[in-house]
Amino acid sequence: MNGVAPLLQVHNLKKYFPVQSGIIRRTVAYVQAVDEISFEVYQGETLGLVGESGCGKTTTGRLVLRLLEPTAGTVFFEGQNVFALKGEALKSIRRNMQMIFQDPYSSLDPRLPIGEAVMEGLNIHRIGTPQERFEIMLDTLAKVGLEPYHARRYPHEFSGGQRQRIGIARALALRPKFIVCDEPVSALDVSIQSQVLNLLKDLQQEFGLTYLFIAHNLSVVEHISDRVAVMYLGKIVEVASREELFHHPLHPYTKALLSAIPIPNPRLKRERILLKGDVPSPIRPPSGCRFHPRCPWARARCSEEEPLLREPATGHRVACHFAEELAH
Amino acid sequence: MPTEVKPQTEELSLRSVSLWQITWRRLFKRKSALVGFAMLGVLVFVAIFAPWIAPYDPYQVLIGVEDVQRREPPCIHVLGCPTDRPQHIMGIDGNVRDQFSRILYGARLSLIIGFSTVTFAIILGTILGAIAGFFGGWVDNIIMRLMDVLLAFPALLLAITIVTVLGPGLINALIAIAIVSIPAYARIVRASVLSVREQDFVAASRVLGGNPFYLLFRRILPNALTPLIVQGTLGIATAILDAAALSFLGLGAQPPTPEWGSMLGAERNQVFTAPHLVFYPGLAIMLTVLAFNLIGDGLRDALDPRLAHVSK
Repeated sequence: MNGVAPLLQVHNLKKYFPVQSGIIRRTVAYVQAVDEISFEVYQGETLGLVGESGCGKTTTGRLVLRLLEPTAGTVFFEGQNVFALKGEALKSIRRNMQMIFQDPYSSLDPRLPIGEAVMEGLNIHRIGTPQERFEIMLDTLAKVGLEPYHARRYPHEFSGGQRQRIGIARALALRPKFIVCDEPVSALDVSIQSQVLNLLKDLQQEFGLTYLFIAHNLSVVEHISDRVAVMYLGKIVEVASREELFHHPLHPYTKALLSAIPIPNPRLKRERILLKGDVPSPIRPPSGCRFHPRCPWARARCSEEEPLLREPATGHRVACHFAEELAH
Repeated sequence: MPTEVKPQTEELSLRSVSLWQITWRRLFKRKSALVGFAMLGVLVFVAIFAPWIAPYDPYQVLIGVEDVQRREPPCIHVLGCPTDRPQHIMGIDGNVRDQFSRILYGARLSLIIGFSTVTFAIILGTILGAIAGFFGGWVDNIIMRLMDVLLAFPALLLAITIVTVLGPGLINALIAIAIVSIPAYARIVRASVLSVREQDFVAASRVLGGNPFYLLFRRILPNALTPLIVQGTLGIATAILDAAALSFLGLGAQPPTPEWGSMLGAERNQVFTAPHLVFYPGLAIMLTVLAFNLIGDGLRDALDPRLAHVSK
């Protein structure tokens, strides 16, 4: 995939949330939710973004779509800096970048029939005649497996899985190029999860979609992603293709995550890497490598010098001083 | 495709239920709310058809027209009043007018007072609260501190002050009452805008390309106004009561306007000699306020999201 210009390029993206306290609301500290991360997403691929709760995955997704303003950094989508756009230019780029939300209950307006919800983007962008919009809406509903008569119903009349498919239809109605999927299946039953994942895969094939797929479930990410980025405490610690990452993880944190995936075979013995303690506070992250207090292989250098994201093998980037030694 | 689809859409959509329909159904299951609606129905009927129901002109002084005295007690034929006497079911007031007709016309005025002040207050309060909640920052600070200043005074006292500045009269009293009730609505709208603003469907609309005004008026406000319905209904009751109080003090409706508060105020010294002249206007005010309070309570229960899945 080298040589091709990426569809989305994120460079040194940073988001600090101020922590205010006292009567005069003085800023006493910053939550370093996302700290100087860089990655790119290529046309037609799915980049999985994994990490535990509070590591900044969702913030990253929202920054990319400019639902949040960054503290620093840039996001280029098709060569345009998303954060430099205003008014009409921002509106027209939004046609091509959509989002699927985690919670299918709060992501649909309870007072809007779902047909209206799916047509909302078309109405905002004034695409075609009302009749054409109506037809696009019915067509999109059919694509996600809903019947035309559902269009007049309200969100509370649907199940969680159906609502998530409505959310997908809403994002899809504008026929975008790029969709941020913010944990789209984590609120669903396991039986519905695979259904929605397969739907996302099918739609990707049909419309040539590019996904930034945010999740905390590694099996889900393995199922859908082409490449995977692992986040820890606001930093990207490892980026690699799915096969590379799942079979030859380089970063200790990735290894620990992978060893935590349950295997449905009680006889199989394997080495478990158990992490001690909790994720440190993003207000005062550890010095040097942010993972060093919990890393079983930590050495003196880890607490002093912050490891940069480097590329020891082609297409496999990792932020660990001793990645090569730990590879075996 | 639409040709084969449309008939199906119409047929099956009959089963679709909006949130409003659910609310209505729940509302009509509450007896107290039904009683409130019945009372309000009677009031509205009386207010609309007052000229046809009222036996006399409410302004007409009956001296020389009929053989009646000032402050004559009620005379009801079926209850044994001699049939050769003219019938006045609520008696005669201090200016020799038919009290019953005046009470009927008073319903008109009270409903107008209640609805107009609350409408005015809700519109201004919603705009202020929505702007404060949606934009936040210093805009929020300025608007809400202003509202806090208004809230710091006792409502009726502030209304009296405003009327004193503007001069007595019904319209000025209405303006005063409306201004006094703005902060309550502004606060409610702000609070609910703040919570709805953070919902994912608002973010979804933003990603779809909606501008801030679209988000505020199309997505946030429709979902933020439910608490206002309850407060508005209860607010009508308060407004009627406040207007009656101002009129009682001589600051609102001026004689000879048939307003319950001013009727009460005019005859307040005759409580023991002619109790019917204070009893009926007082009763009318009480029943009207009760009706709105019952409806308001019923609405509060019917709109309560925590009961959303109980007793559909």
